[in-house]
Amino acid sequence: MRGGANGARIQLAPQKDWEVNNPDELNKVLTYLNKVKKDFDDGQSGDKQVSLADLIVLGGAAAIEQAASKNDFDIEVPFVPGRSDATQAQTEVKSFEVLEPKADGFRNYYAQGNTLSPVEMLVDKANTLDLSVPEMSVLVAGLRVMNTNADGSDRGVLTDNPGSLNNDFFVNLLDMSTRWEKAKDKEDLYLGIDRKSNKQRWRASSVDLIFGSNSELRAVAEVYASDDAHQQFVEDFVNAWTKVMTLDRFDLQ
Amino acid sequence: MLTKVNKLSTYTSNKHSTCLISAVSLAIASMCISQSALANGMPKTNTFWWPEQLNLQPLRQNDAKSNPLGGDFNYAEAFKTLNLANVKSDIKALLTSSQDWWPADYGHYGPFFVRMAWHSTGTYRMSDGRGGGAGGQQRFEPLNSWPDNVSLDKARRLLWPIKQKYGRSLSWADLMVLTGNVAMESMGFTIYGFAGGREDDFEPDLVYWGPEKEWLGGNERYSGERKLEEPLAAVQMGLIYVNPEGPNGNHDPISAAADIRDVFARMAMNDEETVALIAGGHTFGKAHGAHKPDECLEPAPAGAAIEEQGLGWKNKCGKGNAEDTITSGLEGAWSVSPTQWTMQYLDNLFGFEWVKTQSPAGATQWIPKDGAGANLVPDAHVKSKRHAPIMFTTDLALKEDPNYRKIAERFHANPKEFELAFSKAWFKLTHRDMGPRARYVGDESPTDDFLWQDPIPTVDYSLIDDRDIKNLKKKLLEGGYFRLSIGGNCLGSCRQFQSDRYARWCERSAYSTRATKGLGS
Repeated sequence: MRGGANGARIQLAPQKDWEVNNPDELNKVLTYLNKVKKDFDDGQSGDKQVSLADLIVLGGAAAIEQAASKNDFDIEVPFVPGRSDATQAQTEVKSFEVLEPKADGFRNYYAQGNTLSPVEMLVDKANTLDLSVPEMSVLVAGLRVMNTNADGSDRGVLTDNPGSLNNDFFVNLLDMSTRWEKAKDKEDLYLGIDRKSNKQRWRASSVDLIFGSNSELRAVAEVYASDDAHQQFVEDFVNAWTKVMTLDRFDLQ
Repeated sequence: MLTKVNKLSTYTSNKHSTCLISAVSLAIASMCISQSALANGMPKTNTFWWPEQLNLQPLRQNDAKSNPLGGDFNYAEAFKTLNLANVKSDIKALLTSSQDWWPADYGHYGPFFVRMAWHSTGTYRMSDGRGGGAGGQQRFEPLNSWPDNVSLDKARRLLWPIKQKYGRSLSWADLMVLTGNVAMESMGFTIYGFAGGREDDFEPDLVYWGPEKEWLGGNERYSGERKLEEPLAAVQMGLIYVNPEGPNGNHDPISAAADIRDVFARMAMNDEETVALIAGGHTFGKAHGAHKPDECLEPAPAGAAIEEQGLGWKNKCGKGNAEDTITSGLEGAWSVSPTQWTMQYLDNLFGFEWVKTQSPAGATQWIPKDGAGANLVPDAHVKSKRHAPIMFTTDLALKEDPNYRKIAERFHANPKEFELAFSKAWFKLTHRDMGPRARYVGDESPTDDFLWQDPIPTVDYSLIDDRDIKNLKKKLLEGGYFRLSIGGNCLGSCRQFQSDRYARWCERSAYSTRATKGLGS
């Protein structure tokens, strides 16, 4: 097992320069997080510190709690400190290069040169993250409505309120008042069109649409899109999220 | 690159738009199975290299991990929270709310939903207990994309708002059967009853549907004088019962009757139930064969483009729906009022002499001789049009086969008897695979016992206590029949449990499981 948030190697070469990590944006975020860390550490009288790795994960937790609160879901994302920050000297760049994602369906990212399709790469990614079918589904849906695509695009952001955590992705994907068509001359882009007005409502990738197209994934999507599943969606998202965040916490196992 | 997305589904045939699926006669159905070449980067299973290796996959089905409702979810308890009257009234309103993307025949989805319910449960077969409505398997491949289930993807999609509203308290499996019932009630038929309790699966069942590697192939399953291989209960791969045009499309009602008798018996139906089901079912609705399927239809759901969102058989001829719909390839209605419960099916069957004709799709069907009744049946969509009633070759089997004819004539003369026979047969068709009444949930299930439910008398006496059990155990061992008892009686009594779904249910009764293991060790 390799990789994970522990070590905060995202601030080191080669990870900081990976296309999937959107280096420009990453740089800004890391600058801010490092400032938070420095302010916090400097403000301590004892030997207390917070690692950048913990701050990165804590930032995600805070963002999810805020996104859920926009739908009146008062949740606390589990967080256990204990990650530490590696140095560049501890990081063999060549060895880390193999970890670069060629595709990450969770953030609608798909690089040139893949043999497998975007949806196959999503399943491959989910498999390396040890996720079940429902866990993969709820993670994709939650990340979309929180507007977390790698390139910042609106593909699959099937909600009128981006940034809030709810089951809108599934509800809108399964809504029969929308029909879908392939966009002309655009790789992996589909348009959701209002059946009555013929106006464009949404944009999506194949990774988004597979949850309505594949019969098994659709069955999962239907559970989460149902009227009684709003709370379950948020809870399951948080559980799946926490699972991924703690995959590398061998100290907790 | 993106054309590969369909590989995600478990069923990869008919990926290419040149491959065509329809239940219309073999002659016009150009079938193809693409032995999907594994793309670079996709792992090969061990059975790819060593097909003789024992497959343990059947024992790993329906892992709780794949179920978004979780392992602790209790469907029966959830179903009990429903107000069934409200659900039914929602379904009833939906029946006549025609949607532009799939307009209702005669403005009423009832007959369409009856077909959906029938096909969801009609896959049940006695000999291994597999198939049937439980699990809601019609949602998954292969059934979702079977040639006999053309357009039922649309039927379920119409029901989505109801499913969405009631969520986990109403499984797809129950909703499909209940909707069939509500549909028949709204068309004036008296239903025998409804029991809930069919929990949904979240992955396809592994079921042996036949040896053929081709849709609508049906030669390998037969040997000798048309002896159908066990445990199969359909005449061709991808059909639920029989070929409506007769065995291998031979248009012979007498040999069609033999196929019907064989297949229905394998689904636990006798001649009387069979006649009631065919005559009752075809009282409602119409068949669809407006155009030639190989010129109009795109692939089944599992092979359809991702933007179709799980809907298959996109029809590029005419409007693509309504009066241009293609389903079985046969075309027309059996009665004048296809959205009402009437005696017209039997009236027409016996009232006319029938001659062969071709549907627009090229399938052979029957119409009244000498143009009789040519303006009898209204068109399902076009107000100005009228048609002759039709019969399938399999319908004429009810008239030509001497035993079926006797029953059909009795039903024709005794409408009440016909209605009761159909309602009981329909109840059996839609509940048989659930097993004993102990599994029924809800307050609409009939209280009478049917033999096919394998009834067991209620315990009306005191049960043995721990002391008795201890003493009885001693007594049992004293006899020296210890090993015989395990092999012959104890394990045997559990081993009869049929079908994986039954088995799962059996395992939950911890007592019998523990007893078996305890004695064995």
